[in-house]
Amino acid sequence: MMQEENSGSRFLTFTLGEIFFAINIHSVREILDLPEITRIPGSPEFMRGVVNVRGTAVPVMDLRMKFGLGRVEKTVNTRVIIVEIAKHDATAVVGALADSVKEVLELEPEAIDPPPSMGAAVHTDYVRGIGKHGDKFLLILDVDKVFTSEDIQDVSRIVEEASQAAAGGGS
Amino acid sequence: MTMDPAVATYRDEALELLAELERAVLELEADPGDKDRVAACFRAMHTIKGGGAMFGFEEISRFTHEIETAFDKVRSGELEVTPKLLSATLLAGDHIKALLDAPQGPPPEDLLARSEELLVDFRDILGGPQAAPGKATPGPGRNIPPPSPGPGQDAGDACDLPDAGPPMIFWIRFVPAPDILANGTEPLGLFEELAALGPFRSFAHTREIAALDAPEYDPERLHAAYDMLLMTCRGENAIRDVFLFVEDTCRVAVLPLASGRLRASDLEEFLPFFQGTDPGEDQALAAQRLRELIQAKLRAVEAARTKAAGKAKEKAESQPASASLRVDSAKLDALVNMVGELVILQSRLRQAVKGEDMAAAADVDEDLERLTDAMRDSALDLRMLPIGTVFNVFIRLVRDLSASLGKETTFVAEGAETELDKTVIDRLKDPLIHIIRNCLDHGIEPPDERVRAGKPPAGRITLSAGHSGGNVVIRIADDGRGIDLSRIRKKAVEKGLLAPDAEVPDKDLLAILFEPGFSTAERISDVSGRGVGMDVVKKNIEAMRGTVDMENAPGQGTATVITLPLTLAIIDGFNVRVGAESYIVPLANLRGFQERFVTETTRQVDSIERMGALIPVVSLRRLFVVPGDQPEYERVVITEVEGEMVGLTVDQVVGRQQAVIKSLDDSYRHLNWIAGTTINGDGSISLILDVPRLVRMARGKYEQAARENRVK
Repeated sequence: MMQEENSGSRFLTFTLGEIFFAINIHSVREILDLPEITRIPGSPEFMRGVVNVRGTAVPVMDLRMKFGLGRVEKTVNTRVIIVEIAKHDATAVVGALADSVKEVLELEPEAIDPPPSMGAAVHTDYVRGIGKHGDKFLLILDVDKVFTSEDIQDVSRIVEEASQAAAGGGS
Repeated sequence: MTMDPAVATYRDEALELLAELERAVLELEADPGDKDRVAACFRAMHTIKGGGAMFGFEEISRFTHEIETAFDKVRSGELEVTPKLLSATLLAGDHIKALLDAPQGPPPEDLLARSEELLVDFRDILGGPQAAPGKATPGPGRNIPPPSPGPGQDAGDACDLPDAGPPMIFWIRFVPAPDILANGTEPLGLFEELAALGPFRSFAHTREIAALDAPEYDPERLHAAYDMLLMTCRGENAIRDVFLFVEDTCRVAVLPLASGRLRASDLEEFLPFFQGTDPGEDQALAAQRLRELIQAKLRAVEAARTKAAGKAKEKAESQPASASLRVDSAKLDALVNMVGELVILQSRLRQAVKGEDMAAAADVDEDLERLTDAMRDSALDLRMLPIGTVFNVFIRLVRDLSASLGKETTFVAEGAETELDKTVIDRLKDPLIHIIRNCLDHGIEPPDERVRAGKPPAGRITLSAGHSGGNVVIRIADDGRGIDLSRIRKKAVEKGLLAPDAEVPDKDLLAILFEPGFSTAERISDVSGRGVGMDVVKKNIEAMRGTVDMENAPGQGTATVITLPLTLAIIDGFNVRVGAESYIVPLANLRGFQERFVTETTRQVDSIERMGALIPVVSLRRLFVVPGDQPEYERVVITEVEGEMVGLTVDQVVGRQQAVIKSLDDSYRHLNWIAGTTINGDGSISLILDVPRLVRMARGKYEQAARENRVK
């Protein structure tokens, strides 16, 4: 596992709005069509509720809302990515809503840049790196951090910054 | 180094016996003449001793012997039951527990020292040298192996001897002279001597041996050659010494192969290697190959050992309590019977389906419902234990603590037979210990103060358990000085938990005791007063869907009341709907249904009349911000918690339902009104309402509103 993380590894890519994201394939347990979500009153807005995954109530998180990108609406492409995250000593299972799930990619370590430093205003610690695939930027998420933190993060600025940095570097 | 299941069973059993011993000793304290109790102590010690010797806990066996002897003498009337004997026995029980917990193999130095210390006490009690039977009292040092140089030690690998070096594995090739038998040497004797040096395996080359019916067969001549592997710490010379008298006539070659520690069974794995060698050929070449094999094995063993050691440590840390459960065999029989019934029902169902007989299928459905109910109860019943199983701990705790605090206390336990889910009991133990400590430290006064207050000098702590509705109520009461509310008030103001001029009912002041970091103790004792405690107690109890309350009578004592659900897994409830959402109200809190017509806009908390009294009513629609329109006609579910009635408005009452509780993920830990979720028959999810919290919230808001109205 560690070795794979150091060398190139495989990632599942998905979109939230226009932005492409990637998470390590090892964290992904399954991908489901959008089931009926049961709302839990009193929970933060980005926690959309729970879904029944074979008899277990799995919490579902709207990453779009969490990243300040609006809200995931139900379309034919909407999916729930069920991920396993390490929490203390146990594994927790959480679902993440995605506008669409794209593909599984292999990224060489050279293709991954460290996240841009954005100053103290924007936390980037849940972004493990910025990957480049074709002409697209992929935000590689640190699954354990994204799903355990409770604040909403503004992710669009990171992408902007990254593309600006890339454009600046290229010209 | 996985634990042998037999050893694990012995450990579990010994722990149970120790608990029994403790109980018996504590009862003996109250009634020293009780012959049955003495016999019970003796039996417990005897069984622990016997098993200890059998399963390799030599130290336990040796240590326990003395205590057994003492109780044997008490039994035969040679010795009196004295407080000193009982105290020593309790300490001995603790020590045996420590020995059981120590890793297998020779126990560490400090435990051995403790053994000796305790044994001295016992010999003292047994009354001088003539009472200590010679065969039972080992001389100092005898039977006590030195600390183990490493895990996985084999008995008798000679590494304990003073002249031992690092363990080495040797290849010994022994080709006896054919006439060795004739000059009086017994090769078997040589092997035995080798085996005494350490784990030892040999391979015999029999190619040279003539067939029994061959003309050249001579039973007095030895034609075999031997290749042997020996793991020893004694060095090459010790091996050569064995062959001292045959060296001249026989071919003996001793080759060190590798340094490291292997078991005899590991050595056996290499024996096939010798099959392919010829006793006549040069050893050096073959030795190289064998060396590589052995070193590979050593590495594997080392890796496994480190891993096992890590795992064993992890296990010890994560799960100190035994995970096994003793079940009354009648309960198991009942369950097995029901499984039999289930099998029959299944075949009936198949028949009905085959014959497309709806009536028969409906019959099966009905029977199945009844059976499922019964099986559920029966399966849950398996997990039920009498709460008395933890009472012992408390008796001991009260005894030891009051001694250290210089107070006299009697502990009375009632309702020991009340059954609770095993997980609940396990998780209840620590909170109860904490509460009892508080009673002893803060509640019960020293004897002189008690006498001044006109109370008997000995304090009294009563723990009673019993059923009440779908709950188990546990009450811990003391007859001490009670809680000084003015002190709580002062402290709370100091800590900023309370405004100096706030008017607070007594009940709310007591509730402050459960706030984190709150303690009224003026000095911190080793018992309590650090203020980490009651909040944790409350948290633990609430995690089990229970509640904690305090009752206080200044000067007369306090009582802590814990209410817990019978089981954590399944509840009975009513399914209700609000808009498109479905909720479960636990039956234990349900008191009835009413209705109301909504004419104007509703508030989150309103009031409604029930049986001539006004009670608060919570609009779930507003509280949960349920999307959809407010209907004109609403049902009101009346719930009751701790004598307080609160209504909950819903759109529709669907019906009674059994809910298998699925707890919510950790990410919902801040959630207020939801206790869990359950999956319905159609795959949808209902949320189980946390009624006690809802009621508390409603009462609070209602009373606040009432006060504001009065002000106006």
